[in-house]
Amino acid sequence: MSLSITDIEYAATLARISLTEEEKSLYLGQFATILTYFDVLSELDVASVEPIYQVTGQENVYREDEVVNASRQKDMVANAPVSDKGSIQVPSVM
Amino acid sequence: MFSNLTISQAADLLASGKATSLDLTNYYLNRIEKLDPEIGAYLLVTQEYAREKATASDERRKTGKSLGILDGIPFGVKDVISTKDIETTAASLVLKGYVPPYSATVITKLEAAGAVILGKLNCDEFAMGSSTENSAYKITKNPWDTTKVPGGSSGGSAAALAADLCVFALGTDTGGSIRQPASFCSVTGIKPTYGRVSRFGALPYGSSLDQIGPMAKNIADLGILLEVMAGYDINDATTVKHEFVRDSETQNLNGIKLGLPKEYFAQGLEPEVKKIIDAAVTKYKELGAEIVPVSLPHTRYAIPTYYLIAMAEMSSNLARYDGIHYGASVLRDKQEQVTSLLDVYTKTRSQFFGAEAKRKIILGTFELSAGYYDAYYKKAQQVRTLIKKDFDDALEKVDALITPVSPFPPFGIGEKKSDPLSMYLADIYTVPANLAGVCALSLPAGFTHDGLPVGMQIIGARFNEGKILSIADVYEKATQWHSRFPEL
Repeated sequence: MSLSITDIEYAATLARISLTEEEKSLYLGQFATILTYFDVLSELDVASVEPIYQVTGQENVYREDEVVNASRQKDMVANAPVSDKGSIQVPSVM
Repeated sequence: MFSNLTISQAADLLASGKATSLDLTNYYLNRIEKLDPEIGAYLLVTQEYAREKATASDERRKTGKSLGILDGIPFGVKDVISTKDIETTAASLVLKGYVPPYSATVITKLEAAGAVILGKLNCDEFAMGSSTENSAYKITKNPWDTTKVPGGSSGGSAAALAADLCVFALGTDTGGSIRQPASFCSVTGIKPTYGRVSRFGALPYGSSLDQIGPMAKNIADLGILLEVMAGYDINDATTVKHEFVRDSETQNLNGIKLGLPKEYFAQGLEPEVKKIIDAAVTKYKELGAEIVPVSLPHTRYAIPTYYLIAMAEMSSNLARYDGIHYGASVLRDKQEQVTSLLDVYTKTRSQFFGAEAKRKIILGTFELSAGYYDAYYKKAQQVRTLIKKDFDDALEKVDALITPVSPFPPFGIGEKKSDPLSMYLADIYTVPANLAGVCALSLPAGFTHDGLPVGMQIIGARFNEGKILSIADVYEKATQWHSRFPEL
């Protein structure tokens, strides 16, 4: 596939990363090489193959919805850059 | 008197009273102080904590309350594994100064068995890489040749073992990150079956691929460690309830069938590595094993499949580093003008992630974005089904597979860093085991003419760690490659 700077900028925006112009052109070249190599998968017809998301046959593992970390609450909040009265503070959303 | 101790040897010294845990701990702390400025294996050395734990172990032993074979044994921890009250950075600036409020399950288990943490070991940022050059903090050198990389991403763990800076170490393996550095540094390491060891507290990379595993100086130690580390954990829903038990020691391999996947001995394998693995296969024949040619026909699709899955999962996993909850943040910088929540995310992530992390996050985001998901991520998961079936079929016919770990011996520091694709291709023999979820180990198999280590990989069916450890143990005892150490 052909890749453009716009594709890189779009993915970077979704990933919440801003890139310098040099990074954009570096990644454009590198991504094009990597994705071209990955195109080898198009040799395979997998239309009738189920995708697999895990390998040990487990599915839907549940546990009780219980609070178990309450004792660590203070320590966890202490790792936040800004907090107040046991809550994490953030700048305005909009 | 303590040089290159295995767990059993160290435990014997402790049990017989010839050494205390504090003696051992001081021996390693002194060696780290003397040698690590050159090797660069440790990101953090926890001297005080280690001496405290060692003293407590000695107290227990004196009162007859020793906790068993690991009590008092010093070890190092790859820095992607959380350690309560000990800084855990994943070798990333985005977690600089982060002190986890809890320990990973494996740490809790090893500490409950009395093992003594010496410090945190260098690796590629968030375990992404095959050379440890992607660490934000330092370059780790290969103790066998300090112009070469130790492999990666668990390069600090492998280098620390080769340089005798710990008795054992922990690594993680998403696509070969335990096995390839073990091979490059002539030590042992096992990637357990997916679901065998709890990943709770390991900073995630590719969640459908990641496993924590032990690295050590011989095969027997891996079994000892796996017994402690393995098991169901309510905090990791992928763990299973199968119990791990070591097989009893065997002397020969009569009746054992070992498969040689022809795709692993084809183009791209360096002749010197091939010669060493061929010699190992010959040794296995002498030891009584039957060698059977097998095929894993989808091998050539493993690298793109692996990277598409790993990058997609990694871009989702690393979304958590947002500058809000913990770790580095532009909010900690009073000079930084921040106008909105989005601004915090973008500025923090742009400033603190390294080049390879950004590259993989953006590529992973791209392949998951609308219009590309089916062509990339979904297709990779379909091919993964085929790769898994290759292994299921082959491992029905044989007890284990014998392969090289890496197509080439340790390469030069800086040699591949600017070419990400050539670095990815280095993982060709290790990533398929993660895709299939099977267990696989690396053990020393010889040296090149230049004296560089070459490891051999043994791959077994899911939850067959006991069997591949036995198969490896017989070879190790017959060849003794593991008992060579670099002169430092």
